[in-house]
Amino acid sequence: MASLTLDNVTKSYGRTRALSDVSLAVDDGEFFVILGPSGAGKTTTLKSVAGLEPIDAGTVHIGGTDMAGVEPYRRNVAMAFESYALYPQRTVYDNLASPLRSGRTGTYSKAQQDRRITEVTDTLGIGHLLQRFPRELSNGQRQRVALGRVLVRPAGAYLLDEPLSHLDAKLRAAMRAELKQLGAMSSTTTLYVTHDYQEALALGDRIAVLRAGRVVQVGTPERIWARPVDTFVARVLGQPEMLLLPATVDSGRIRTADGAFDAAAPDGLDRGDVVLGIRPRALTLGERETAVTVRGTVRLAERLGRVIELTVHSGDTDLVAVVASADAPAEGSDVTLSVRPDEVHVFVDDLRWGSVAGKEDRDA
Amino acid sequence: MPDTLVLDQLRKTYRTRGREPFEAVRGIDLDVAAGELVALLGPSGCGKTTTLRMIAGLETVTSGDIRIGGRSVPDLPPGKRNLGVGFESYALYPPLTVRENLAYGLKARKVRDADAQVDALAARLEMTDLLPLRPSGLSSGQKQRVALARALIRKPPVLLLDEPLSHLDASARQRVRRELRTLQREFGYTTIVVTHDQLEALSLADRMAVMDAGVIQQFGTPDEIYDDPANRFVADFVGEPPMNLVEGTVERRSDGTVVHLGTAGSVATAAKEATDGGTVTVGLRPQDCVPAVDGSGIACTVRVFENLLEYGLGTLDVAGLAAPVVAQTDPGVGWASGDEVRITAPAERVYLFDSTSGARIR
Repeated sequence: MASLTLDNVTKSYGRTRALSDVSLAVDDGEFFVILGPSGAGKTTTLKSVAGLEPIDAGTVHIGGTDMAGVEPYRRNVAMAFESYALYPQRTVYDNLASPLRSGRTGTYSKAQQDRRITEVTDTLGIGHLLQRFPRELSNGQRQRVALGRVLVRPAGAYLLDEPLSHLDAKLRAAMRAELKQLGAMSSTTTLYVTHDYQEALALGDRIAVLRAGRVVQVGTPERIWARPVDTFVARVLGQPEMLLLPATVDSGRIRTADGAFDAAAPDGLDRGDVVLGIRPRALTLGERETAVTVRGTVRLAERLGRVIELTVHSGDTDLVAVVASADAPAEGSDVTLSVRPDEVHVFVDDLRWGSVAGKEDRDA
Repeated sequence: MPDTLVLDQLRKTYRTRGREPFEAVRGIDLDVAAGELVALLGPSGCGKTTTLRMIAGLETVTSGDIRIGGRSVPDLPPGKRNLGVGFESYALYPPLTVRENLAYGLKARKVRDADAQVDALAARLEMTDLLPLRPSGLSSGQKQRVALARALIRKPPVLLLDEPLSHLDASARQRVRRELRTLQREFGYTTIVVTHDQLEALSLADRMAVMDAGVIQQFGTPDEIYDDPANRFVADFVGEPPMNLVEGTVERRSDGTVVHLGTAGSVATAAKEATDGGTVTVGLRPQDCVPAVDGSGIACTVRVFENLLEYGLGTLDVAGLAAPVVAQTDPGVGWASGDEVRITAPAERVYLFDSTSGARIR
């Protein structure tokens, strides 16, 4: 068990700045997710904690101890890389036993090894595969064994780099649900890197959103979803992504240039240019009282299972709305969409100011 | 003008000396109307790409026929088939820029506003910044957009696309998918899209053919495929999260048929042809599982709940069943591990399949 702290960690590769003043504090036992697009610095952050990449400036503490000059295998962390290599010529049992036999992190008797391996294989549901070779396993089974190699060794923290990215969508969703149930992971500090916002929302106690080597926002999934600090974070979470509409505040109204969106401006927001942010699932069909309405024509109606994604042309813009398939209008029909004022985010200079309903209290 | 496309008992068998012949495509029929967009959907190895390559003329036909606009084409070379082909592997001219690559065919045919057409299409596919680059400097996602643009710009009567969006990131994929759909509507190319992504097929296609083991398992509109799957394979392959498929026991009552799941309760089904007392595979889509009232439905214990904010996913243990059932909940519904919940589903959404053959029991 260990807390992890990064203070102003900076790292460059040649002239490319990979991390700029990254500061994170992960509590003991916390499941902490680093979310961001490729190239944001997620893996570099993980490697800095593991000691696999020397950092240019800043400090990394694990369990309160400064890790400067501490070798990777003395850091008491277990890291899994994206590739999740297994030894092809060894059985599943031997693959799982090898981290315990390396001797770098303590010595284990045969009985102790067996006990740890049984614990891990029971949790991962791979107990029946122990005598098989990697080539005899399905992709999902291989991924489980690879994860088992990380979990088998007691560690103060687990560092996981996109552990589900090589699985197909269905297996990924199933494994995501399984990861959440793993007792080992729920009680051990875990730093988990992903570019998949659903993994971040489902697994993270807290999420740090990274962009171009900088931490943009840290918070609970609910907080980051409801109060994205800027338009970048707003678009990182959610599919289809949040609609962003340039608008102007003037004479007590907040409206887009084409007039498609026109509502009373919230108190405290005076004249100027803003960007409105609406999540496609916040738009509903039909007029509702106290809601802001937008009229338009359905350009595309795309079936996505039990929901339909509507592309609605309004003024000069295409709005995307997600509605139940039962009441979806046909392409070409005119529709009215409604959205609650508190679900229309307002961004000023790219930072979230509040919503069309007003500015929220900071702690609300 | 778009053309019709007909596949008639199309078959492809690979024969290698010393090995069993491999039947990649086993006599498929497909009738595509002019201007229609049809998706060929299936897992890798199902024969969808082989089918596309036979249409394109990149693969010989073992038997059967392909007719484009009524004309039999298996004996014609690829260049004479009047197709637009958006294959990723389709080579771009390396010494030319992307702009020159796109304009090449147009200029050869002395199209006057070639550059304007290139600009307009590039803007819609979000690739204006790629125009001055050379192919060697492109990422796989960028190459894919260029290949798509090159196929589209000729406005061919029949357009063949092989996994056109697979290398794009999630949000670009959604935007380019919508733009592809809109362009296809505007210009009316008859289009075949090969994909392994069921969401892409559902959202793009007028009709889709779900393939497995060289056979079309079902051909229909996305609504038909999703709401009325022909067999267990189609039911399982289409839909996300995947349909729950669990063992159940049929009980025919005077007022209709119900299926019992494990020892946890029962749900009514609209299926009429199930045998009383028989064991069947019951299919329930996570999106169709809703909370039951008054102690009806199936008793479940929440194993894990994932709040994805757009919706929630509960993985539920059902007494007497080995595998859990997944239920999708509306935003705002919160379950905790260990909660006891009861779920049910609309009778017309409780699908039954033969436990052995996987055939749908209606």
